[in-house]
Amino acid sequence: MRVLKNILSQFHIYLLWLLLAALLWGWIFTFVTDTAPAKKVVVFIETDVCQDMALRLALEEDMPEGLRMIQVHPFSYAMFDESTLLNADIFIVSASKAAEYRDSFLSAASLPAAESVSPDLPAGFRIYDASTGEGGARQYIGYVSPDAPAEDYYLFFGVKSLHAASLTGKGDDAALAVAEKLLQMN
Amino acid sequence: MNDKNELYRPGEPERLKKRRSVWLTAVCVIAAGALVLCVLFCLLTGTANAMRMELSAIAVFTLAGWVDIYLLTFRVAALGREEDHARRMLAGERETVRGRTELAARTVRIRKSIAVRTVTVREDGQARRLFVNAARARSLEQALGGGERMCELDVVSGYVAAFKVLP
Repeated sequence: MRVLKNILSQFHIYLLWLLLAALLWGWIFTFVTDTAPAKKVVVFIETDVCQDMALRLALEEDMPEGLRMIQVHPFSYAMFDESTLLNADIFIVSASKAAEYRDSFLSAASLPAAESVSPDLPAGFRIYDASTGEGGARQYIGYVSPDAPAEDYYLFFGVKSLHAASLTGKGDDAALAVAEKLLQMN
Repeated sequence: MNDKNELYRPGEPERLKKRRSVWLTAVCVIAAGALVLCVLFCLLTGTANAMRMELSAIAVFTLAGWVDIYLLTFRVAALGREEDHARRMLAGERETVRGRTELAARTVRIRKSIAVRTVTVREDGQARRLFVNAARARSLEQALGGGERMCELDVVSGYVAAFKVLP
């Protein structure tokens, strides 16, 4: 009884400690689970439903040489820090939203099968075709939303990517390898 | 020969200090153990288990912290206050007070000090309020039998150090 009374008298301290622990280890694990941009490929996907962890695990099987990790995030992950989003290696965005991030895309016109979404957008790859319902990584990415009409999704390479050497002339082609896997996987 | 009931005995501050050290060691061991475990979780983190490891680190760190906060407050700090109080009581100058003595049932916690119970001593129409360490009040309580009795008290700085029930 006395122990319980003592605990209740300090309840606010325990609550504060819990918040501190969550913040501290959340911050530490962000560093522990991260690595330099040259060692990772970051994929941002503009959908509400995205099994990012499962997709990440699938992509990390047979990871391109030199990479330590592949990160997959929905766009909402970067809601407090847009620079994280704008530095991504690969973007998967809907046709209607592609223009919003136009300046972050690298043109893939020199690559086979690349297509232009519209004349004012860099060339990318159609990863989801709304007319057929076919798309890459469909079991992981929720391309169709019940609240919005179905539309095509496109994959673009990030203009700041260090892993699109065939397009930028620097770094490696790890992003291209990951993109190819995304386009081909179910 | 002093036939009073002594509430403080020589060597007690040292015993309290030793007990405090033991609890402090326990606090340090728990803290170090938790830190080692959390570092281990960091080292064992991979893509598949990152969330699980993070939650485990938060859980271990939180629980260890809660236990340590409790022990630091209600064992280490409390024993430190007891030790300081015992030293003052043993080293202080004693004053003898006589009168009809009554012990309050309620325990009052003095901020940054020990828990006490109020002792009221009445003589010649005058009432004097003293304190007794609540952790040591049991013998006085039993002697007074829940009521008021004529007692002779040794007092140091307003605290009862020893007592004798008078016939």
